[in-house]
Amino acid sequence: MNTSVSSPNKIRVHPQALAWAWAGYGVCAWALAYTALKLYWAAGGRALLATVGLPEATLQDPWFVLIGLWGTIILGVVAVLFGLATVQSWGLFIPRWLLIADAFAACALFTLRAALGFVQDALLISGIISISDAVDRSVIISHLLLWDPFFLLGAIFFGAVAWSLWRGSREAQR
Amino acid sequence: MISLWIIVAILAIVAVEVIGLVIWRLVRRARMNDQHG
Repeated sequence: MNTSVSSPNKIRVHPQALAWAWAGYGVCAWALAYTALKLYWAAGGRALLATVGLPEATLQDPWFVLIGLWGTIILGVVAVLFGLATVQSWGLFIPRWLLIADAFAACALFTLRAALGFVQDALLISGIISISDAVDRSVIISHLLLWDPFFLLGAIFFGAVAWSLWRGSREAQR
Repeated sequence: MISLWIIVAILAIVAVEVIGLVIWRLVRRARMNDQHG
């Protein structure tokens, strides 16, 4: 959110910041969906777990439960707060450069995740890379149709937040 | 296993950022209190 102080007790919100608020709320909603699903799996739920294709042994591994489930739940909560910080007034307590750097880093990470996923899954489905018999073909299709687009959506939301914050800070300097 | 290490690295970065932010805010508040007596 691009803001400027116009009087001691009044914060003026830049009109363009309001136009880009969808990006912050998008990050929030995206992270909320991800966190809720991980929380559901951590609580023992099994819906949609087949789309990931994790073997039961991995799900029982305490390191996976600690880092792969609870670690990502913590990161998900941080991402929800991050999304809100870009559109709520309390977010002004966080330096802009930190929010911009984090948003660009998250965008880069999720772009890489989505791109590698799309390429790998497309190569597997097309038969260019051979699939072993142990791998369920439906898992690769769900990755291609669900998880790769999901991470791409995250990259778009974080990228939009990074772009709007960066542009806002540049215009505030003028 | 690689993805778990990536998550650990991101958690560490986030922890450093949050702790750094809290310390920075506390130091800034203390300095402002000093200036205003």
